[in-house]
Amino acid sequence: MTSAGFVLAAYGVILGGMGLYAALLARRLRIARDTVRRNNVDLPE
Amino acid sequence: MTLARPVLPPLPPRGRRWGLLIGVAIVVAVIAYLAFSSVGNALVYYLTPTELLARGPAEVGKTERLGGLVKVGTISGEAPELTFVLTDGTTEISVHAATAPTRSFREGIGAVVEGELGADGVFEASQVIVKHDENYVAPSQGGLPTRAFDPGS
Amino acid sequence: MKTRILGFVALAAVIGAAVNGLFVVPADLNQGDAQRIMYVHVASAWIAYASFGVTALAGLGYLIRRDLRLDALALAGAEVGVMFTAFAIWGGMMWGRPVWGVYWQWEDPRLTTTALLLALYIGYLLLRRLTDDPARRAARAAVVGLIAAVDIPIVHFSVLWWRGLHQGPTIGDPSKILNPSAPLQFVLALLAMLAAFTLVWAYLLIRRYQLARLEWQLEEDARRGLVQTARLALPGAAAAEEPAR
Repeated sequence: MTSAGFVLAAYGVILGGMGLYAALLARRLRIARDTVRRNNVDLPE
Repeated sequence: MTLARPVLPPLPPRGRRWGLLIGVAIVVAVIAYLAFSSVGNALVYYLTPTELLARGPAEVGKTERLGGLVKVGTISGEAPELTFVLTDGTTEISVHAATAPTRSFREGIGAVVEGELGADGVFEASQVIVKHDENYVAPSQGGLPTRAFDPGS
Repeated sequence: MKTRILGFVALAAVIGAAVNGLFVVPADLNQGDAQRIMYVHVASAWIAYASFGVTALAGLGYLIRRDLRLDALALAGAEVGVMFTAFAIWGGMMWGRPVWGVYWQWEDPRLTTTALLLALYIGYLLLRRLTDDPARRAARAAVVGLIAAVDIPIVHFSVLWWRGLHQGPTIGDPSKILNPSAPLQFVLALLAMLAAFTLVWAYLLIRRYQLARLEWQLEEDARRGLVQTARLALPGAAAAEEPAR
């Protein structure tokens, strides 16, 4: 592999990894918010 | 409207707990291994030429790591027949390297070689690791291209 | 909403810093293009230190104030920190192969202590799953987080304390902060990357904190037996799927 290949692998995994983690967090947040809302429907208070 | 409320809180299944315990045990084992074996050895990651020769003839034929600076003007030949001298400032050892180092290998740079000291006093290296330092140099004005990616690299 | 704006700013900053590091700044004369990895590698490592620092301080805060919000912050720091530690190791491997000639050397103190750091905080995250009593979990995690933080300075100073393959600090040494051994444009490119990563870090920490609070709300709901009962218990409750609350 050339230097450029290693550079690409490093930047790709690190920047891509941050994006993937952010997307996963957004998804988990959305699901959790929906579930909390559903669980608390019709509470007396 | 009130909701049906089961009294018992749900507990995680037993199997999952055991899995987690095993996971924790593995992590603890890895930590213990790293702490007691590798870091201890890392204190002598490589020997300097002075230290290697001070160990005397018993070292001949034993696999060791030798580290030092590549003495200016001593690099000759290409990979299977590459030779150079490693120095720590007081002692020098000639090195014969069978495999090529990376392109950052040059005179005056730090290098760590893995291999064994021969009876003739030449260190037979199976691997040359280039120990680049913490100093960075930008290409000088003019002369070298400042293109981002050098196609030749 | 503000967090969303932070996310977009962070994204723009990372793209800008990456373009700068990849295409604008010249490569190091000796190492060639592989040196460009330094920007993401070093920034990842520093952000990882900061994450575990947050975990340790928030854990200490929890032990003093007994406020579970601090435990949520500690959890966020540990999870984000594990990710950035993995990034630092990955970037280091991609840098080491073309420049040193090897991806990894177990005997190098910096590499070994960093692997230890990763293992410690993966252990921290696993330990948190062993109990679902919020107070006990938070207290145990706080103690482990404080003990594990001892490795942070060991990782940082390992290159000065022990003989190894990894080079010494270029600007991270207290004596070099004002006098780095790199040209100004390299230092500025690194600081730009660090600033961009810090924005991403802040965004991810906030999101992970919010998620932790929601997950604990769900745990609490489960403990009170509310899970799914809204739909199961009431024949007409499906109509209340989208509440106006």
